[in-house]
Amino acid sequence: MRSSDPPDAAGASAAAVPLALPDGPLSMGRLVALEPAALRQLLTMGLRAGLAEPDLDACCAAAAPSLGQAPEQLRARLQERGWLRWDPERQRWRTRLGTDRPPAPPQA
Amino acid sequence: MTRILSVHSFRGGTGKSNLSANLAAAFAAKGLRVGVFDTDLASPGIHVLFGFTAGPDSHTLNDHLQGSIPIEKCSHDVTPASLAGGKGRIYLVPAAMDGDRIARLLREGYEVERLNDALFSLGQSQHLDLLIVDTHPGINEETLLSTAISDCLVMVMRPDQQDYLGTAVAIEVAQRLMVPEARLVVNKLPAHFDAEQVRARVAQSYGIPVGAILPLSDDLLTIASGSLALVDVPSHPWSAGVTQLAADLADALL
Repeated sequence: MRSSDPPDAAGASAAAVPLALPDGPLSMGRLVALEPAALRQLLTMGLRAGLAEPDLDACCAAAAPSLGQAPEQLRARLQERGWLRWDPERQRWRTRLGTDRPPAPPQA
Repeated sequence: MTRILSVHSFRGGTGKSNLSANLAAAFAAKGLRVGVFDTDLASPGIHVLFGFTAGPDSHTLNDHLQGSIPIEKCSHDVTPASLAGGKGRIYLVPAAMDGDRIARLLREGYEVERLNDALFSLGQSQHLDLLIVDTHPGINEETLLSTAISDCLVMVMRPDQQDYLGTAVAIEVAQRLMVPEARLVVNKLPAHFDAEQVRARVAQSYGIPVGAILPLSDDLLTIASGSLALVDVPSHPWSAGVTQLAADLADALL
């Protein structure tokens, strides 16, 4: 199942439908391909100024239904993957990009 | 809060760095504090337009991205003398210009997240009104990042078929990243083109506002290829177009 697929039409409970976020660190290439748009928006806002607690709640509430998840589950999975982290200095949730590096040309 | 303006093009040679530098001068002339990041790390060049030459102890963006130098120490006041009497300031974060450093960056890479942190950190510490990111052409991790965090994306293109197609791709990506504002700039328009026809065509094709149609100018190449046209020849049609674009962007962002 891809993250862009609709929720299980058979009406399975939210807990039974795994959130199909890609594995591995978040890269910009990965972010731009993510669905639904509300999830991209959440992560893009996190890249910019970051998200205050109510903003994150609102974004999770907007993105979660398309993924067949409860907002709390989506939030937990984003944190588990390391895509979101709390920035104590700014007191905001921020999107964390992984350690993917810009491509380097082949070595001679 | 510092507003971020990314100046991007799908292909090289569009005059992106020239536009970035002159926009910075136009904003500074309005009394704004502006930062300019040269993220075209593989082929840096914008420093030339500001007359900046790195000394042996001058730090560059590479020193921050691949080392431990604070970003504040990599920024240099390059405000032109003619603007220095006003409130406006331009702080340039240049990329390393020597071949070894460029090769090292291409060989080893860096964590793009450091670039994100650097932009916000400098904006805050220098109390910048605007931060202009002069990007590498095309689409890669850095350009996607600078697009994503932008308050406004300025897409620069020349009036040729390859640019038309590539610009469409870049705009589609920007729309997926929900960039709040975007402007299209057609640069280097040959004299035999009808500017209004081109404006109408690109506006209809891309569905984003056309910020400026700037003429191709042989005399400008001679007069200001290594300096700021806005400072050297402010009444030139190209300079006037950039000044008008800066006013439009300032209205939209500040």
